[in-house]
Amino acid sequence: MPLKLVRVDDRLIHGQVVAVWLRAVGADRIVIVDDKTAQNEFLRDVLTLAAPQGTPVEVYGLTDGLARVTELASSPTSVFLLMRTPLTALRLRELGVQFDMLNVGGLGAGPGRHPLYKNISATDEEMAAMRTLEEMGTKVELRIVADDHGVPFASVDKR
Amino acid sequence: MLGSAAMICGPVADAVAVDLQPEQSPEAYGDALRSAMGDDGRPVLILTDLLGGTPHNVASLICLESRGPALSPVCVSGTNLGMLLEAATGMESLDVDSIARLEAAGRASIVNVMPRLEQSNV
Repeated sequence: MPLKLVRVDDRLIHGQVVAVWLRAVGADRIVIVDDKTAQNEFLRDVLTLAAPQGTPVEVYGLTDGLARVTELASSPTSVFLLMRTPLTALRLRELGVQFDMLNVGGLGAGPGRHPLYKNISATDEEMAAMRTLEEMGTKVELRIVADDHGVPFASVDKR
Repeated sequence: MLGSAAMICGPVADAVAVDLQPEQSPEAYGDALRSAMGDDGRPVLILTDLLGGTPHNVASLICLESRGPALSPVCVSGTNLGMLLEAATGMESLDVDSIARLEAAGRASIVNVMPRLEQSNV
């Protein structure tokens, strides 16, 4: 079935937040697409332990992730797709993964990162990626926790 | 929590609280945690509150990465004041038995009070 939730969060799986989102959207599997995480066995183990008990977690790099997400999208599985940055979301979208909405829930501050909304910051490159996603018809919404109101990216994009 | 522990057993020696700021990335938090842990070779015990929360995840990752022939840091989740007091007053080392006592102290301080009281008044 179509992806239940497509989310960008640089903390990836952090217990409570992910548990609430899973319940809110009715997803039963977490798929992480992130090259850095896929290459780090320790990080994969830590994130798998961090997921709510009983929720399978799969971690892939971009290429394998594309194949797996495409396969799952045409299966009965309801998937919560999680990435660390909007750049990955854009790559997947360009490579043919369909999603109408991108939830941006966690992008920390740091050098070269512009504050956007609450604790969400983005680099110029990430800003450009979110703009491109919107041009491709994917709504980009800033929303940290499930019971927040979503804020459209366009409304905070002061270019 | 360190303040509460200090009221009971005096200031906890060599203890540092490293809190996660809302806007802090896991990487930045990891740097803060590593710097709090120091690198003087002394054993490090990391107590986290929430299993699966970002501080816990970052701490676990650091523990996994520093596993080796030298003394590895230990990370225990579900911290409560009972556990912290055990760590502050009852721990000489980070051997398996000491960690088991620490876990037990944490679990033992979780009690549904009324049934326990009623039971002991029979």
